[in-house]
Amino acid sequence: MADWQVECPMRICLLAGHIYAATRMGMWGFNGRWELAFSTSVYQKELQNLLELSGCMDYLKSMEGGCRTPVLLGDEIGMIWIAEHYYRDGKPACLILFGPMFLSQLSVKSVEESLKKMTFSMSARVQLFRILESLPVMPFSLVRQYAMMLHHCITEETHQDFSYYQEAQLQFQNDSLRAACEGKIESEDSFGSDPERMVALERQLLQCVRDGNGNNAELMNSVTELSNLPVSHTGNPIRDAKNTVIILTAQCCNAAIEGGLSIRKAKEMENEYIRRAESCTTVTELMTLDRKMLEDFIIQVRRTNENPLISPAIREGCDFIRANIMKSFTLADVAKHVGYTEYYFTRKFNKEMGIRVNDFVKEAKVEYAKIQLLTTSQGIQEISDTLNFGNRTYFSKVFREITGMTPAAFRSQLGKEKEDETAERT
Amino acid sequence: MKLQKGLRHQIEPVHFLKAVNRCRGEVVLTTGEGDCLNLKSTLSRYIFAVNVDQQEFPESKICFEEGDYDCIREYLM
Repeated sequence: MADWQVECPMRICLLAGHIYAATRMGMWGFNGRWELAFSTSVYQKELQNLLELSGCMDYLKSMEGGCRTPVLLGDEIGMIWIAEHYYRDGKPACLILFGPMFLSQLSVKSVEESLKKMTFSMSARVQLFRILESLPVMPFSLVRQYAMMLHHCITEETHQDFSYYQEAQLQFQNDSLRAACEGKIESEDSFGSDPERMVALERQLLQCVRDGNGNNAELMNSVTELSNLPVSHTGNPIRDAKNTVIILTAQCCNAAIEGGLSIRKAKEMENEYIRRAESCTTVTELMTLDRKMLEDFIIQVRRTNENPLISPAIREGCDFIRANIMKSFTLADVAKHVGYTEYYFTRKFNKEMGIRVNDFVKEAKVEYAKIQLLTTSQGIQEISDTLNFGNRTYFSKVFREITGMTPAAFRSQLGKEKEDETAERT
Repeated sequence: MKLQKGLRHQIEPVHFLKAVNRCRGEVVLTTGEGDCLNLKSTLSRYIFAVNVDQQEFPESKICFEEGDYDCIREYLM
């Protein structure tokens, strides 16, 4: 093991390299006289000026005895720095900083908007624009992980209990920065600003569970978006992510019961996924588990509902239609896929499913269009083209026949894209 | 009463802006291109700090209260 031991400066250099490669975030080292000793930042001189002007350095200088644990520092425009002292003979010998970066909640966009509103010439603004654009934007959970990596690099301290790092170690320059980091400040660009859309997404996902339908890949992918919207704000991102998974698991369990899965089986699955969520140690693990849980419930509902009156060939035909909904295909293609003639397939389909194949295709397209309207900002014409409706008027007509409202009305019901509604009326 | 003076070349921006912070009144820098930077505002200070090394703000003027002259006199022409 001794051969693997690396001195602190080398560990810090390695960490700086890893973090720069992953995020383009710079590392800074200041000597005991607060003079810059090294930096990996591209805009070293400019960002050092901003660091000095931000008051962050003054705050660090005011800390008696230096900082033995990571300190999070922030300026008025939301730029964040992580700092910790490296001690030699019990005295602070070197200050190591990472940054700057923006938290996702404190988006760089708002700063750029403020800059745009200022009446300066472009030549005056362009350099600051360029620098801000180069800075990484990352969620607080990641910032916290980098802070703990820095602390480990400097001290080699390790703790089995991850919450020790989360709750005891990290210091904040002030309370407003702490509140911003812990997500207690509502910002315009956070997921929370569009709750109607998130609720609608959640409903669509739960409907997929009830129907045992996992063919909508985009909707299935949106579970990640739901996972990113914590249902609690405990200040501990892992706990928040666990709470989110647990609540979604309970909702999926109820939806699966409504979809026909036995209560006993659904509850067994619920307990198992909650147990697995509690044993996860990273947010990434929890997000993977979320997706797996959803897929598992859908598969179980589907198996339960496999109607013996519907033949495997017709079921395969339905799957083919759903999976190729964005492609241009004919009924002959579907029939050929399941090994029947078009005439025999359409008659058999109608008999078993109680609906004409063409109507089933229309319904599947409208279901997909609803997801597109819900999860993207694509125009109605574009969605119509994607689904090969031929023209927008026909798409709107079919959509209204099935849902009782136009695509624009469906979208505007969710408070999105008002301009589409106007275009639809014209 | 307001005073208007030229800014010296090759000033150290952080020291200069910290001196500006000590001024009681507003300190406005007007560049040769006509841009006005209120050096008490964070974004304007940042614009100044990242540009000062690249361009010397030729023909720029500093407008400030007479009572603040002593705070920034070493940076004025």
